[in-house]
Amino acid sequence: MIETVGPSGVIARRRLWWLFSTDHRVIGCQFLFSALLWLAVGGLLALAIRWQLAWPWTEIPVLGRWLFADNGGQITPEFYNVLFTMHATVMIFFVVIPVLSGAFGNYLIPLMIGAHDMAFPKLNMLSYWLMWPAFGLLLTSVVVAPGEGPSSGWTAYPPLSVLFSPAQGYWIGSLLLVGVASMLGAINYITTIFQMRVPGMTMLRLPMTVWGLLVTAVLQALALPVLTAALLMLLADQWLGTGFFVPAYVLNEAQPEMVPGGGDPLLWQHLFWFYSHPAVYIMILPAMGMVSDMLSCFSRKPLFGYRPMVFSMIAIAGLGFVVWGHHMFVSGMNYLLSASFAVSTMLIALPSGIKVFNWLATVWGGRLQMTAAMLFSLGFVSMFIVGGLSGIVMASPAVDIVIHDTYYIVAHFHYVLFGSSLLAVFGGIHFWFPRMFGRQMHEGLGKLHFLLTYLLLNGTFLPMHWLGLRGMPRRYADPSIVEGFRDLQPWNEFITWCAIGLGAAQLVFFANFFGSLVWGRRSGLNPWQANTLEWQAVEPDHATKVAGQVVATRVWRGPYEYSQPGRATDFWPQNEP
Amino acid sequence: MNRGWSLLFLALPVVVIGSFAMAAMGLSPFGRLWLPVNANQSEPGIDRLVNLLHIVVGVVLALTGLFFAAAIWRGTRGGSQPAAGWSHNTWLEVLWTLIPAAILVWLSLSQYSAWNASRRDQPLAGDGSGLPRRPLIRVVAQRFHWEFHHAGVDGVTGTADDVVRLNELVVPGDTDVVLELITRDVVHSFGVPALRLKQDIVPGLTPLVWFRMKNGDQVELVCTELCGWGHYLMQARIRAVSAETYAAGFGDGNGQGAISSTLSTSLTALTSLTALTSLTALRSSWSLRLSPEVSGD
Repeated sequence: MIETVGPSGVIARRRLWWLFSTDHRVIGCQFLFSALLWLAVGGLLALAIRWQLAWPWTEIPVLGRWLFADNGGQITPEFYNVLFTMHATVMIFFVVIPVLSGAFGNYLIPLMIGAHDMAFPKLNMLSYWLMWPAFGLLLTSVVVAPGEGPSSGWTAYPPLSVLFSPAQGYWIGSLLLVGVASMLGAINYITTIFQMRVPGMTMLRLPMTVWGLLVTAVLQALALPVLTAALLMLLADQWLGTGFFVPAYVLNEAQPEMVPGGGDPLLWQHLFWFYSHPAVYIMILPAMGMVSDMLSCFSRKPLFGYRPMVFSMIAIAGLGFVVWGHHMFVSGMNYLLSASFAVSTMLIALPSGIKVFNWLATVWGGRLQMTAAMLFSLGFVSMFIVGGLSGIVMASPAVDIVIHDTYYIVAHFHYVLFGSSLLAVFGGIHFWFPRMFGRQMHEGLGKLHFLLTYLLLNGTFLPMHWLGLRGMPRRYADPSIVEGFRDLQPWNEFITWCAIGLGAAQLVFFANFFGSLVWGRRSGLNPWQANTLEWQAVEPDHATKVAGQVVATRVWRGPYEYSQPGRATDFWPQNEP
Repeated sequence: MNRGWSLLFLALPVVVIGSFAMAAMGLSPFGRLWLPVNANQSEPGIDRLVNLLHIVVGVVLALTGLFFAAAIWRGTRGGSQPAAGWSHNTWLEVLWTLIPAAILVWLSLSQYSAWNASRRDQPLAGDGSGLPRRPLIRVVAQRFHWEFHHAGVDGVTGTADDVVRLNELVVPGDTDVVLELITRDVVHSFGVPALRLKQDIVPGLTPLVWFRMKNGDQVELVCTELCGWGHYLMQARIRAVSAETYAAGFGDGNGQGAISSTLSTSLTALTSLTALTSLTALRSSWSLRLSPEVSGD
């Protein structure tokens, strides 16, 4: 609450402003800046993976000579496995979840519902400060035993993760901390949204962003305990010699030979996916909410079908708890179980489809303002259509037999995670940047960034579908070693060139983001003429030049009343009678 | 300029549908880009299902993509006309809930037959008993190679007369072959793209797979579940030979094989030894992990 203290107080407090603030806006920005840093880390890991796939065993530029001096700059197959394990872990647990729930969640929830802060500001601070020890543990896991970092993928299937990855324990520790951080955030968001709404802000007047974050928080609160328990059991298997997931090794019927064990590796898969499938929605629902808000605002038109949008979001979350088995169609679990998971998986396409149709209908008949934020939102929708439809293809267990663990899956979840979630994040940053920093990002650079990202994203991930249909497996350090996949090598090179371009295109974003912090055009209080409460502050804070807290004392209407007949302006803020 | 963006958003479905159609028809600058040529004579209907699902989602993509681009084209035409103020249309919403729901239910039901054929309808033994056919070969996966234990003269896997081969699986052609899969260490996966087969091998489970190959055909087997640093090296060849050739080398599974029992016993002993060695290595790695002080030596 910096802006409420006098000028002298502001100076005194600003020294520790960034470190130990309990202000939700500061914590939101801390999450944002950290997640952007981790995004760069995760992106570089992806490029290293792509380099190896296109030009196997050649020296990786710059890093290769430094990291693998003894090896002629060539990476080892062990390190390749570390690379994709780390890429997934960083992108999922340190980029997408923190930037959506941590950054946008923290920043927007209180402002959008008219609360002065979160219900538990100190828990909120703790949730951010657990992220750095978590990242520290993740780094430790890679360097603690050179060449033997966690290398069993982000899915960490035992017995591989228990018996052959000495550093896996640190990885587990890191995820446990991230889990606690998410849990603290989740209970905070749920409490805040249920208890601290300004009078008149009924549940069905909440902006979709808040709905997305609320449903996400509920998903986290229900699913995370399962992951936490499973991780602790995995850790116990590795460090204490228990046998939750480590099986007894039987050579043949005549000579049973045992190691400590007796556990069931399939149990881990069930527990892991019981969390990790809802986690897929944790990584997309807030993005869906943000995009709904931006599409409505820049179409100058009410969101089409607000209630179906809310209910379909809840339906996605509910069904999301009964579809985890589609990750295990070929695991060897009972085939009838797969048959039922196939139906629930197919059905989850229904609420997702309804959302898509509602977005299309929101844009239809609108008077579109093609800002960078709008372009990213439209990009989200178009990428989500492709990624969602390939999800229907793989919902069939029989089809999954041919595409399971191939690049088809890699293509699918990158369309959804990068193509959709990250595009929404870029859009959200463009959209709320004026609210966060009192300046606007450069529109031209934003559009350039969008165009390059959109084209190269498709160049990178579209061909992966075909490689997957051909059967090229994921997690292969060198697919070209298999005779049957050798003719695909030109495609692997093409994908890598696109990925390098995609990485380079992000420099435009970073330049725009950091440049705009300093040189961005000063924005007014409500530059997009939006309805939601976060834009309705009366005057900018004199110390930070950022708009102060919301002054709304009452909410009179829903968040999407754009272009209503009989009004002079085409928007109608929620707090205006 | 603003109207140009609608063309960009139109380009995506056009490129996606166009390129998938080209891939399905075998038109590609390099490499086949669809399912590999099928080599499984009893293919359970997966190819048909892959095509069907892609056609259905392709149509949906075409319709939504076209509508999306049109909406953007209309919305960016400029002029002073205000945006529409409406926010729902019950009829439309009921329609676009019920139609996709019907399509999804139809898809869920229509894909069962292929799944049942792949996982339930095990080939029957040829003796008229109506019982499922006995596995002819036991596939033993181990970091990072494949062992194939042929049933041998007695026709039963896991017995002393098993004939063991490494990284090359020979099967009798033009007949249904049932394999049982086990692993010695971590989770592996038996993936044969050309036979439309993929089955994880989780320690403790013994899943079965079945197929029928044309005499003389040859396909590749790859591991499709991450099993460690050498995951990408874990491959083998599957070769179908005539029943006579098979019987001469591996026993025909009906007690009529001609393999010398001493040879097969020694081979079995050899495999057990290999297995035992790997197990000892596993156990020592286990004890090393439990007692860090030993790790110095």
